[in-house]
Amino acid sequence: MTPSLAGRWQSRLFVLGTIGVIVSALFAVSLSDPGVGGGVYFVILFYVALFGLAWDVAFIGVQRLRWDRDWPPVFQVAAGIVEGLVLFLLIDGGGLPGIPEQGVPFGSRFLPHYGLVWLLSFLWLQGPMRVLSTRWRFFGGRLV
Amino acid sequence: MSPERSDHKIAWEDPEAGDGAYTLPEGDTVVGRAEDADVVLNSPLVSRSHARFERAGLRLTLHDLGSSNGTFVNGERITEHVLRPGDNVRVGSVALTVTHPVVEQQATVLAPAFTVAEGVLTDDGAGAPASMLTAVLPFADSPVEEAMPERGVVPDEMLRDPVLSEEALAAAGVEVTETEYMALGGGVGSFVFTDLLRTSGVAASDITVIGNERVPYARYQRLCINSQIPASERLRSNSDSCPDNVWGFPGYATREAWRAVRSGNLGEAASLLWSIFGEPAVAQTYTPISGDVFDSIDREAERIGWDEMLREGRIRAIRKTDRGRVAAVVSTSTGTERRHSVVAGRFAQFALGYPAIQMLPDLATYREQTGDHFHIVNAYEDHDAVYEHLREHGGTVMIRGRGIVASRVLQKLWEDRAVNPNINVVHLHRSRLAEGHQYGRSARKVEEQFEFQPFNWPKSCWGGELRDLLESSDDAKRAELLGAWGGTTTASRDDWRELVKQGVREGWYRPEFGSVREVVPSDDGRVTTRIDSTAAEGSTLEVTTDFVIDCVGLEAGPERSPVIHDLMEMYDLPLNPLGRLKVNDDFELPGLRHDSARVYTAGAVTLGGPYAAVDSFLGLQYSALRAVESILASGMQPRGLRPLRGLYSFKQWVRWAQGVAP
Ligand SMILES: Cc1cc2nc3c(=O)[nH]c(=O)nc-3n(C[C@H](O)[C@H](O)[C@H](O)COP(=O)(O)OP(=O)(O)OC[C@H]3O[C@@H](n4cnc5c(N)ncnc54)[C@H](O)[C@@H]3O)c2cc1C
Repeated sequence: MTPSLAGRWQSRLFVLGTIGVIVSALFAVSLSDPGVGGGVYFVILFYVALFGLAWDVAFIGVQRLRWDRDWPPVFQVAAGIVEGLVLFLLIDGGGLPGIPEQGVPFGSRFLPHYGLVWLLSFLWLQGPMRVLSTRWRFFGGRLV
Repeated sequence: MSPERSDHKIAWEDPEAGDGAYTLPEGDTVVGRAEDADVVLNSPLVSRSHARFERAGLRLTLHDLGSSNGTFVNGERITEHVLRPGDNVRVGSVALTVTHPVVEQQATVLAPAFTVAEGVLTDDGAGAPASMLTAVLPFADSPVEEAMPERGVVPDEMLRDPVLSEEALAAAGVEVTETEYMALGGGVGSFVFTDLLRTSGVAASDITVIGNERVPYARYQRLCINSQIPASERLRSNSDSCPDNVWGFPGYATREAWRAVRSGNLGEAASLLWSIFGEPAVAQTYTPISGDVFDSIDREAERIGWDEMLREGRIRAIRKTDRGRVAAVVSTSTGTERRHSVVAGRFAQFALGYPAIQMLPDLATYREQTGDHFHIVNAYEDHDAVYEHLREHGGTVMIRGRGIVASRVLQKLWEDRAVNPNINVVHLHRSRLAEGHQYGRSARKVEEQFEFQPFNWPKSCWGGELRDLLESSDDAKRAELLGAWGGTTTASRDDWRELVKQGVREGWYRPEFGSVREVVPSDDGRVTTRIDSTAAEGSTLEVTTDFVIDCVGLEAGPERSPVIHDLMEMYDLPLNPLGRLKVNDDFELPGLRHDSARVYTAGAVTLGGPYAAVDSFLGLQYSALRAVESILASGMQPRGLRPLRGLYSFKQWVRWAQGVAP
């Protein structure tokens, strides 16, 4: 893929707004902890989007060091891991509005939720996305 | 041939070791500080026995003899190295200038029976004047046609008018066929345009394709085969560049992996997927097998009803008509007569491919003066006779050009060396490539004088930041950007890189540097190239070889296509800074816009405009997409056409996957 910054932002918001919302809803319904509530998955999703907008600026910087200005899938995987870890550390450090005092357990809650959202988004952007928009791949991942 | 250039020589100018020169004899020459060295270099950083030159005929190897301060070639410390013209050699602190002899190899007299086969790519150019063919490989349109009775000819004076009168045509007895969409050319560009129209809802009966080949990839395939890409070889193309599928999904890699899975080849499937996952950063770039691409086009052609839409014939002219339409004047040969007719419609796209491929001017001159088409060939013409001869008799080949075609020709020669090891290659470069092109903070990699890049443009020219940038730039800036991103490159394929290194190591591959002054027949019936050498300033190098293969692939300008030339004259069409047709961002030719007609184009003739990768599958799809979007936005109610997006696009994709008509 060869996303542009606008394309990254739009694609990110699109997949989080669709796949992300559906997955979060499923988690909210099936893995809601007493005293915390299912809403926390949506809060996490919100932070993935919010911090992601900043991450995308950094990733575009990396792309500019590459002759092809491309973003191979392997980079996307690395980016997903880094983004996820940093987000978890921030959550765990406490103080992020909307996140419960006691934090979110990594292995049983954060990882499955974040991981599934990421994986489905990744797979979606590797091809099926183009079926809905023939322009998408020619316009750096922009939808409008 | 000047006598002082017949030997290998070394020379030095050094504050400590003084000045000197030495002619290297056959065999060994030891360089060192010791009195009994063959060449004494009295400098503290030179060891007593420092290095050894080993000359074996034309081959000169430099060995380090375990010196303390090292022997360097082009700045790199070596232990053993085959020297090539232009190499910088340093022994300890002393720089040595190494001059190489003029190459004069054993004569291989060619049997006079070898005359050139009509190897030139023409569509139906039998009898074309020799001078036309020597300078250029015309194939957009052959200049000469076989004489046969003509039927229904559009009178010349009618064609001299920029607006063709449809009534007058009828009165003159010319058959006029009506259509909504016209795809002119019938090649790969026309195919992807037609395919997009069909998947966007247009009925086959509303489309007329006009071209002089039955299958859309006919010419493309010929060029591939001539330039040594047989059906089993891989192209230089992305997995997602699928002329048979506008979505580029699933790509060729996925399809190939799926096939591998089904035949139980899990390892192969994994390695294919790994390629597209890691390319080009951690894996070698995937490229599809040529035969797979043709097969996929065949399947899609059948699905969209290509044969039904195709009208085989030669386009003679494109005109506006007095009924506000655009018309193509066509002739179709039945073998015994030529029938002329006119097809008129509202929306036309022409994709006529390369107007012509030119020989390098010095080679064209040689051909014109000698009529010899055997020793000097263009890689895009049929030149199998060269390889046949080499396999049988051995010989030396000069390769000109360092792009992808040069790599393919080299691969072919390497394969032929397995049959006859007496095949040698001289690769002529204008100058030494020290580093690759640079743009912003990134640069291309160079190895053994080849500059690498997965495709012929940086990837994001197809659909990333660089595409955006080019489109938003003005003409002058576009020319500048294209200069920065383009240039001659080849793919970084492990096998190619290895074979070049092997050639260098074994001495059968040798680069030379300089610009060609002239190419002349040698006394022994071969070809001598006189070069102003850049390795040894001011000297002329003469290289005599059995063959010269022009791998540059110089494309001729649009004026070389008779149809486009005529259009340019008739409608005063502007050109872009690269001398190609000026199109707007939708690939439309505004100069041909008419009351109720729009004309678009695609392919190599538009280079220099809003998009860099115009001559590629994906670029052709992009042009088609832009044209179709522009038709949709024209407010002209194009028949049957719908925007291909959302659920409708999904539905069409499912039909594609099922293999049923759109
Ligand atoms: C050796 C080679 C390898 C390539 N490999 C790749 C690759 O791997 N991936 C990639 O993306 N791109 C590749 N390309 C580039 C590009 O995709 C092809 O050249 C492609 O064929 C261009 O399509 P086109 O429609 O512009 O021209 P063509 O496919 O050549 O079609 C033009 C058609 O117009 C016809 N025509 C011209 N004038 C007339 C006339 N007056 N009347 C009737 N018909 C006419 C011609 O006969 C021809 O059939 C390659 C090019 C070459 C030369």
